Amino acid sequence: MTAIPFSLPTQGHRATLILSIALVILTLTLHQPLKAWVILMMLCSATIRIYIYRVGQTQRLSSRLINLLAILACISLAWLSRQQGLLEIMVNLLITGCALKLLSLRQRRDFLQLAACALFLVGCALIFHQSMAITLMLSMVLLLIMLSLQQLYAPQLAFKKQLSAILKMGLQALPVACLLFVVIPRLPPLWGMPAGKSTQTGLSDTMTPGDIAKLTQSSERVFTATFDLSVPPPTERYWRAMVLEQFDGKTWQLSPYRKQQQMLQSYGISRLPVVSQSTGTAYQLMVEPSSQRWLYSLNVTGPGNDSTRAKTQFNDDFSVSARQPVMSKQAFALVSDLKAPRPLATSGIDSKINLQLPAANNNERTRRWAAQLRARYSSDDELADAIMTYFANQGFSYTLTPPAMPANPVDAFLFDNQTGFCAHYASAMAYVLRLVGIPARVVSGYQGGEKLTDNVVSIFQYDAHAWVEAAVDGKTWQRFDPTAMVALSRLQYGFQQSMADQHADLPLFSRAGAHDSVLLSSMFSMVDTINYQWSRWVLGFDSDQQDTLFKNMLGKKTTTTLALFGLVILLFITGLLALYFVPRPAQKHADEPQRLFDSLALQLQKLTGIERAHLSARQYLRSLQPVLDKDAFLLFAKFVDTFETIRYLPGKADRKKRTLLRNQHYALRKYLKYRGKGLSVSSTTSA
Amino acid sequence: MTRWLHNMLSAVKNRLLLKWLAARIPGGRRHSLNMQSVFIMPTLFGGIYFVLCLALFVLGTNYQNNLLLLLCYFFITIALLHMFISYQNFARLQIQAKGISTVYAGDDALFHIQIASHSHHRPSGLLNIKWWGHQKGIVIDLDEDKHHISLPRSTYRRGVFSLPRVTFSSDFPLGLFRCWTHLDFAQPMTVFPALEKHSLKHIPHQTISGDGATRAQGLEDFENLRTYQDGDPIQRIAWKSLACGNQPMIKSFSEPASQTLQLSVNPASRNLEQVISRTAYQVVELSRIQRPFSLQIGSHSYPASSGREHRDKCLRALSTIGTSV
Repeated sequence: MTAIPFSLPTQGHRATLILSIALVILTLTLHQPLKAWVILMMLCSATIRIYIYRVGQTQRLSSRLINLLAILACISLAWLSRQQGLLEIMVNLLITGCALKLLSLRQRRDFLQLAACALFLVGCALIFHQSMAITLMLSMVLLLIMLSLQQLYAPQLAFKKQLSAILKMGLQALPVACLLFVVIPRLPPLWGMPAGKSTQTGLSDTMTPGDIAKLTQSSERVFTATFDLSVPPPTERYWRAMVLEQFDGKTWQLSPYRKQQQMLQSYGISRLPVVSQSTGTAYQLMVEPSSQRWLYSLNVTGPGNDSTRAKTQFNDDFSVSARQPVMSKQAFALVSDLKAPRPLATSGIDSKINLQLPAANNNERTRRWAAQLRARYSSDDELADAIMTYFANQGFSYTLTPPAMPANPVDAFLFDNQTGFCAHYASAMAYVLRLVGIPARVVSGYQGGEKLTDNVVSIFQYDAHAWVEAAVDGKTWQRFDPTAMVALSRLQYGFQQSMADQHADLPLFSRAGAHDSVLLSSMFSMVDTINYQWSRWVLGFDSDQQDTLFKNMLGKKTTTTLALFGLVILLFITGLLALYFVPRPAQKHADEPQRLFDSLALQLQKLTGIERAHLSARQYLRSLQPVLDKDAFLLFAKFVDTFETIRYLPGKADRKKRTLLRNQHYALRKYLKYRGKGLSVSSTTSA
Repeated sequence: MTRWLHNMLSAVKNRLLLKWLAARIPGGRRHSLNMQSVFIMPTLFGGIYFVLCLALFVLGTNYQNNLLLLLCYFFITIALLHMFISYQNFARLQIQAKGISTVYAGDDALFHIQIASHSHHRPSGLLNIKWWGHQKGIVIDLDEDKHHISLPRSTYRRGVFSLPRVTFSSDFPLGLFRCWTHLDFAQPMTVFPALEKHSLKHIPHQTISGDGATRAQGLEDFENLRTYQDGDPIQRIAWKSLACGNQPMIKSFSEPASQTLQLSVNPASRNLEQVISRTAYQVVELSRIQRPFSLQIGSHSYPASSGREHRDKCLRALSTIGTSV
C-alpha cells in the first residue's frame, strides 16, 4: 500500500506549528554541541514557519534555493568542524537538515521524515546532557512531537482532547517503559563509539603551570563519591587522576613509557593491586561525562565489583582508568586502602623515569639552588623538609592569577614572583627534588570536595589540584603537598573557604559564590541532593545493581526462576494493557441525583417495607409520611425538594445544588444508619 | 511477456484475496468492525520508527547511557499502546450502506455511506475511503459532525454490477500503525445505457382497437395553448404569444390515445450498443413528455405505459441486454 501523496495546507496548519516549536526547544536544549549558526538557522526557519502559519505562504521557496543552502551548510560544516568529534558533526548535520526541511515542508512525507528526525535528535540530546532538568525539558519536546503527529492524523479533534490523549498515552507508557528498563538485561558496549571532543575536559594530560587556573573557577561537577561508611577527612581526600612524569622544563606530561604500558594493558587483563575488601574504604564513583578515560581514586585502589573490574584498568602508577572514554554518567565501584604504601617498581623503572631532567639548559638559578641544598643536607628526608619550609618561610603566596612566566618558569616562580597556585608549587618542588637525585613526580587530580551528606561527597572542577610524590627513601612513594605550606586553609576547608577573598570576580549566582548566602547555598544543596539521587538511581543503574535486584527478588538465579520471572513480567505488562484497554461497562446511572435518590429509596424501602414502585419522588415522600419519624421525614423532604429543583429547574446554580443534594443525602443516610432510628413511634409499636 | 505474467499473477492474487475476504468478512448492508474484519500493520513511518528504536538501543548500549535505553523502551511501549489505541478507535466504526445513485454509463455514480459509532465514544482521526484496488479515494475527518459520505464511482458501460469492496483505513493517532478493512456492502449498481440523441419522429405506431374519441397529448396535431408549468420542454413554449407580452404558454399537441409508440431493440443487431443508446434516449424523452410507449426486446416485451416507474423498468431492461441477468 503506498501512501497517498498528500500535500499539507500551509496556513493554519497546527501540526507544523507544533513541530516547529518542538524543534526550536530541542535545538536550544541541545545547544552545547551545536554551532551558533546552526542554532540561528533553525530559529530562522521556525520563525518563517510561524509566519506562514499566521499569514499563509505568499511566496514559495524554490527547491533549487534550498538545495543550494543545503550544500553550503554541508561545506561549512565540513570546513568548520574538522576538530569536532563525529557525533557533534552528525548532530549539527541533522539539525541543519531539519531546519532546511522545515522550510520546504510540503507533503505529509516530509512531515513524517522531520518528526522521525526530531525523535532521533531527542535521543542524541541525551548523549550530551543527562541532568534531570534537561531530561524534563526533553520529555516536553517528546510530548510536543507526539502531539504534532496526532494533530496531523486528527486535525479536527479539539486541542484539549489531543493534549489529554497524548498525556494519557505517555503516562500509560511510562510504567511499562520503566519496568522494561529495570528488567531487560544490560549488554556491554557492542562496539566503540566515536567520542565527541569535549571543550571542557577538566584536567588535561599536560600541565604547564597556568592551565589549572582556568578551571578553578568552573563549578561543574566532576564526580560524586558515595562511601559505604563515612567520608574520610579532607586531608585524606587526594583524588589521584593522572601521574605526570615527563618534564621538559616547562610542561609536565604523561611519560611515553607509561602511555605504552597502558596501551598494552588495555588489550589484556590488567594486574590488580591487592586491596582487601575488609580493611579498605569502599566507595562508588558517579563520574560525569568527560570524554576521557582517567578516573579518580584514593591512594592504592582496586575494583569493588566485577562489572567495574571489567570496565576499568589499574595502572602501574596507581592510577585508574576506564577502558572506554566516559561518554555518559557512569558508576564505578572502587575499594581504596588509604594507609597502604605505594612501592616503587622492583625493576627500577620508576626511579629511572622519575629522575629524568629536561635536556635544555634552563632554570639555571634553580639548578644552583638545588646544588646548594644537596651540599647542605646529606639526608634526603631533611632535604625534602627544607624545600617545604622554604615555601612556608620565604613569603610565598597563593593566587589564582599569577603573572605569566614564559621563560624559565621555575626560576621565575621560586625567586622572582613567589606567587602561584598548586601547579607552580608542585612543578617547582618535583623539579628540585629530581635535581638533587630524589625520584619525584607530579600527580594531578582533585582535592577535598563538598560533603553532601555524611557519606557522599561531590567534587567540582574548582577542586582541581596538583601535588608531588617523591621516593625519599627510594622504596615507596610519599605524598608532599607544597601548596598546603602557603594555603593550609585550602587543604582543610576546601576551595570555597580559602577563596573567600577572591569572591569579587565570581558571577553572582555561581556555586562558588553561593556560600555567602544561606538561601542560595541551601537551594544549591537541595538541587545537589536531587541531582545526586537522580544520578545514583537512574543514571547509575547498571548491570550490577540489576543483578543485586534480581538476587534479592529471586534468590538464586536458575533457568526456571528466570523463565518464571520473565513470564511474570510479561503477564504484568499484559495485565496493564488490559487495564488500559478492556472496555469498562458504562455506569448505570450517569446522572448523580438519580443515583443518590435510588440509593435512599432502597434504604427507606428496607426500613419501612414500603416499595417505591412507580411513584414519583414527591408521591413516595407522601406515602412514607405516616411511618417515618419527624426528623427522618424532614430530612427526606428536604432532599426531595432539592432533587426536584435539580430535575425540573435545571441550569440555575446547578453545581451548588448538587453539593447540597449530596450533603442532604449524606445526612439522611447517617441518620438512618442507626437501626430502629427513623421509624415513627406509632409504627414501631404496631410492628 | 513479463508484463503479461505479472498481470496474470496479480490477477490470481487478487482473486485469491477476494475469495479469502469473502469468507472472512461476508457482505452486508451494515458492518460493525471487530477483530474479524480489522487488519492492522505498521506503516512505512512505523517501520522507520522501529529502526529508530533499534538505533537508540545500540547508542544507549554503546555509550552505556541509561536515559537512552529508557527512551528506547518508552518508544517501544508507545508503539505497543499505539497499536491498541488505533485498533480501539477503528473498531468503534459502524458503517452502513445507504444506497447508490443510478446513473447513465459514463457518469459518476455516488455510493452513499453512513458512518456511526457503536460505542459511546466517537472514533477520531482521518479516515481514508477508497474502492478496492484503487490508489486514490476520499479522506474524511471523523471528528467533524457530517457523517454521510458519498463515494463517487465512475462507470464505463451499462449493466448491473455488484459493487466492489470498499477499503477504509486510518492511521490515527500517531501514524505508526494503519488499521484497515475491506467491506462488501452487497449492493447492486445499475448503470443505464449511455444516451445518444435520436429523433423521435420515426417511431412506429401501433393502433389498438378503439374509436379514437379520447385523445392524449402528443406530438402530431396542434391542439391548443395552456399555461407554462415548471418542467415543460422549452422548445414547446409559444414564443409568439410570449413576445406579445402574455404569460408563457405551451403549445400542446394531441393525437389519438389508441396509438402507442412502439420501441423495439433487436439483440442480434450489429450496432447493438448504438441502438440501445438511441432507444434509451427515446425512452427518456418519451417519458418526459408523458407519452405512452411499449418496448420490445427480442422476444420479451414490455406493455405500453408511461411514468417514471415504467421508464426505469425499460432502462433497466435495456441495460441488461446481452448480460445474463
